[in-house]
Amino acid sequence: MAYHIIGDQDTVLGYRFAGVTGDAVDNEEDAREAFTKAVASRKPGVLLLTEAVADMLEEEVTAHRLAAVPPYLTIVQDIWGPRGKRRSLQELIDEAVGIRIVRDE
Amino acid sequence: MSRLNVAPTKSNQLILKRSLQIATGGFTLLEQKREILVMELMRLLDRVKQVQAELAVRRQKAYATLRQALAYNGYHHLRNIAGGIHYDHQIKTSTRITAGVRIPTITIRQGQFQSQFGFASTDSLVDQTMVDFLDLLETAGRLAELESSVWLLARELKKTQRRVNALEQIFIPNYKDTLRYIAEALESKELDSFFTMKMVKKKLAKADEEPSDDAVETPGAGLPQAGTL
Repeated sequence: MAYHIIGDQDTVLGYRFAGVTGDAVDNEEDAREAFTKAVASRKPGVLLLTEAVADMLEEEVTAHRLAAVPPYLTIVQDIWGPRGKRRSLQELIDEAVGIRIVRDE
Repeated sequence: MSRLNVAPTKSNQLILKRSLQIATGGFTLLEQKREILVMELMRLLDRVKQVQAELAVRRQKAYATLRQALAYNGYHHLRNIAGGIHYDHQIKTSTRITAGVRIPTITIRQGQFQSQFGFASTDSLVDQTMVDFLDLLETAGRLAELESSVWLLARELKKTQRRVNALEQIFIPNYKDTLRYIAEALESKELDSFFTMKMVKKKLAKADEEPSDDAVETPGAGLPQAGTL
């Protein structure tokens, strides 16, 4: 597993064109199961999650991120567009530093 | 003003002095660590922004192509094609340590584009989808490394911030106040005992003087008085 994606079937299909293996899920239980399985392998790799999946599994995702073990996560939009407003990395940093350290352009 | 609940004794004063020294040393170190973390985060943030912008462009392009391909070919046909696609992506991960935080580094050897399906039943959109998604994947992989690093650094920074604050706002002032209290208490005790000593000395001196008064002065001083009487 170099790349792996968990998301809705259309997005998974798209990434499959780039040779990414994937689990198409459409409810929380399936998503959790797929995520647990993918994370448990601990193989070096990148795990892509669609926003929908990341929202469903918020707790697990955060816990895995802070555990600092592979596979490393990144969140991608699903192909039918973004889902509402998301917490950006910028906000994460702002929260940690306590002040804004960069200007908005 | 708050102080620890300890008896104002010399030994406690020594213990607290040492604690204060350690706390101050720790405070300096932690503050340095915090500065390093902030610097590292700012450096990463620049790169994150760059990669995110790149990702947004590639994503829009790839997703648009895919949506179009889906519209032209239909989901099932595309899935059949995609089932035969295989790329040999290789990812190696390791960690480096910055300011005591283990940060992942991800090395990716991306498979190169090649035609993997027959031309007969596919159109150019399918090829384009493949090219676009390969580009997108490459960027997403780079973002994964940055994102993970930012998460870990940010958490560490939060922790450090809390420790620095605890030392600066609570521990060090507490130690200082307590030390001041002990110093005051010890001083007044000293004053007390000094005073007591003086009293005792005076008394002793009096007790010493009195017999000599009887022996030497009374005759000398008493006689003229007796004589005048």
